[in-house]
Amino acid sequence: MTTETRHEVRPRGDQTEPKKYRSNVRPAPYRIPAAPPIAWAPGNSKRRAWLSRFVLSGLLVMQAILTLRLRNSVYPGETSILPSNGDFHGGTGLYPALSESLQAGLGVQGMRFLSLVFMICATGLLYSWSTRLFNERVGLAAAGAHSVIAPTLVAGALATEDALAIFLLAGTVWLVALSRTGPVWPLFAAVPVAVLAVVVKFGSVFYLPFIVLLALLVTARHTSVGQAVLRSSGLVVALLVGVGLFATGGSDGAPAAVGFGDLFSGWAHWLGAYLAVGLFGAGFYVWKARMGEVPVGADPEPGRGWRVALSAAFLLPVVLAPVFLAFTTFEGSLWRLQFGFAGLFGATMVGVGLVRMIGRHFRFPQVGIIAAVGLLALGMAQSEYEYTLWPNYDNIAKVLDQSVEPSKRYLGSAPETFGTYMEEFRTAQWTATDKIVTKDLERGGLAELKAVLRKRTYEMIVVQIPTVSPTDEALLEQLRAGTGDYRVLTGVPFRLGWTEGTHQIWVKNLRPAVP
Amino acid sequence: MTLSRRLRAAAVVMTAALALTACGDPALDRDAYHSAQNIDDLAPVKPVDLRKLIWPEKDYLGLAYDGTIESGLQRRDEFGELVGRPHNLLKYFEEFGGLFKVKENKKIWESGALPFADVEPYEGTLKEFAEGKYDRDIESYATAVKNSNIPIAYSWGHEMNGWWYPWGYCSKSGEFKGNGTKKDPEDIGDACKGESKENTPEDFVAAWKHIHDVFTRLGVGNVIWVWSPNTAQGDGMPALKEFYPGDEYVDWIGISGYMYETKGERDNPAIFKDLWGDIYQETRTFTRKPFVIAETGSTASLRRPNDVRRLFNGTHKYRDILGFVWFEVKKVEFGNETDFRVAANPKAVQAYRKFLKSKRGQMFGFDPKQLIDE
Repeated sequence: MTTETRHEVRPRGDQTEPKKYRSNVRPAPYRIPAAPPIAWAPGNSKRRAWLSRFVLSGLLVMQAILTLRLRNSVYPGETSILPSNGDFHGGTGLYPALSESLQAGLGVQGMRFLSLVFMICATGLLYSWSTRLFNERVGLAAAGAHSVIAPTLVAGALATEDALAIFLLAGTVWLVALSRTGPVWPLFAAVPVAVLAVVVKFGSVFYLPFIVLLALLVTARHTSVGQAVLRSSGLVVALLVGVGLFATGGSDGAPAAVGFGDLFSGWAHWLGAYLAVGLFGAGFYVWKARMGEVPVGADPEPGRGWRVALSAAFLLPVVLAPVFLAFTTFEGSLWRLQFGFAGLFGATMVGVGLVRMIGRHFRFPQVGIIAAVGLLALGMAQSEYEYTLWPNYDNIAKVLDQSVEPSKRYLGSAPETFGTYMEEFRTAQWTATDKIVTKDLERGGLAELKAVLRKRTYEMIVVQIPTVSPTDEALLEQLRAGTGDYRVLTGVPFRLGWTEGTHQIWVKNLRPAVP
Repeated sequence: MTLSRRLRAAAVVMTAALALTACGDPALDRDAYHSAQNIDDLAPVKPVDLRKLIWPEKDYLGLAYDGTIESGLQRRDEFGELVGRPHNLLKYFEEFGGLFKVKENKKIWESGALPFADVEPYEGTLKEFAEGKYDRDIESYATAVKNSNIPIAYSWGHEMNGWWYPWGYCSKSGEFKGNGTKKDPEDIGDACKGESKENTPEDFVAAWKHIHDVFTRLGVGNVIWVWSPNTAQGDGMPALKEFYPGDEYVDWIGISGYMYETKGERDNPAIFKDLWGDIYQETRTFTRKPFVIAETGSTASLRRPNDVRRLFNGTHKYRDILGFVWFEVKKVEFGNETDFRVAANPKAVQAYRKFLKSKRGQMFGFDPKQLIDE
């Protein structure tokens, strides 16, 4: 049995069939036009640029919202950098001087807002250079990833030099990427910006070699290697100046005492997932240069060696971040936000990774969404936790406002901390706990402390728990079961990560009406 | 081909492992995050300062009731009307482990009396309390007390120097009388009966200190700590001092003791001294803390009006005795009826009323809330 498929196609009216071709095979009654390789314009278009800028603005708004939701009292590191309060070793005196002059007008909150502006601008610049080096999609993914990670959010919410330094480094990379299409001036314009970054924060110098590498790579694409070296020489000078600055100032003042174990676990917690996405992107990029659906780009594809080097320029800072941190001087106990520098560099490859996860023609959007949501959730949890690792003084200030009387004297652990938030804080009536003990606790200090309690000079004593000094610890012990001259009035809680700390208030026992 | 596949698999595994490194971060501790309370921007509350209540100028006029706090409040009002003055210290009894009854205690406070919680740890041994087995209960109670922001008097494990409660003194020596002869098994008491436990004074002190420490750690300052031994310090018991946790842990010495019936007796002029004298003297050897007669009553039929009078006079005479709490209850235990009530004896009511009207009587009773707000 045979089956015969017959296509009954009626010939068009104007076509007469030559008799000599009469057979079972008939020509198709339609024509297929010659198809172009792609059905859309592969180059940049205004519409596409504006559309992605619109999406970028959404990302920047999200970064602002995520940053502004972090609220807490002034972190000691924010005030200790001011020239009038102490000595600053993180950079030259530039940022402290700037901060001091601006804080007079803007206050700490104003300076924090300035940090947020710096970090948002850094994200914008990141978008710009990632778009230039890859495409809009990578640029958006990079900006999105950078705008949600914890170091970005925390650095944007603190009035420290980090945000400004990150912004200046971002500016340097952006200028380097501008030279992609041939102009030389951006490479030299980047020199003072790079030096300024080191002036603001000595730790920035560790990231300059990668910018030099980037300049060489970007320039070598359209000129010779010799030309590339020549054009990048300005940045090499900037690097040398940076090293000089670091050598003279950066080694002053020991780096904050963070053990290597903590450095590495902090790095893994804060940058591990981020680096994973970046490595994924780098791996795919090295494997295949083509980004997205466009079969042939305007430029010829860069070679594999170039792609490896570019991936390294962006990812090595992330890999080496804990090592850099070990040699960086920073203020106070918040050190994880220093990963913001590495986060900025890694972002481009993270963007590549996210785009590669989604695939061409948005084949696996769910994978990209999982990764992005993962980064967002991590960033939100980690930034909120980090930003509550020091006491919020609002609650204790409110309680003290109701209890403090002008004529009496008070003792407190660092009274100026909560005093800043009180409606009326008279410095003269407050004594700091570390001022009542002049000797070592074991060599007479404890006796001094007990004598102060027995003397009952202070109407009220405010102790922060967990205690911050051995004096406070000894004081608390004496209050609890020592001289019996004071009794607990109340404890006012504050958040400490996901746990609670307390400002405990003790009041003088009234003298018994002896029979 | 296989090598490249293996390499790719290894890369994927390494990437996944790296992505999971965040898991050890304390910031990602979900349980801790969810159990954390919202303490940002607390409403400004002026913490209640009860110092003036510890040693007030006037004396406390207290009542103790069994049953619920609500019924106690009602009976307090009725008794107040009967004798012509509202009482300003209201004691109630409850078993350890329950929640602090915020609403009821606030009602007591608003009605012009200081709530006095007598908490009885029927469950658990002293050692377990000291070791922290019941910390959760203590913490939730203490936190509720703190949040209520009203003063309370708190007595835990009262009459610890007797043998009749499970938390009372109990050890091998508890089986012997003072003269060394063995006690009748009936008299050994609840503390030791049928159990292999041992309650020593050190255990009591450790448990008390532990509870106090939990309150202090949580910043609970609105508590007057009442250490309540009984006058009936039996033979063969350790010295009272050994049960005392120390001045830093105690605000009031709240002694319980009762005036019992002596057939045919119409008056006993020395009853106040006889009942409280010894324990007062003994306590004064180790502390200067003020006294409160934390529980008293009279079962005497003929003598009851005079008992009332002598109690008032004695309390008034000693400045360091801050007042008394009358156990205004008819107790029925094992079919035996013991009536401690003033209200059950019209002559006693009369005596009570008369004293409160006298010049001395003006020194009894005051509004604690008013005193604090002054």
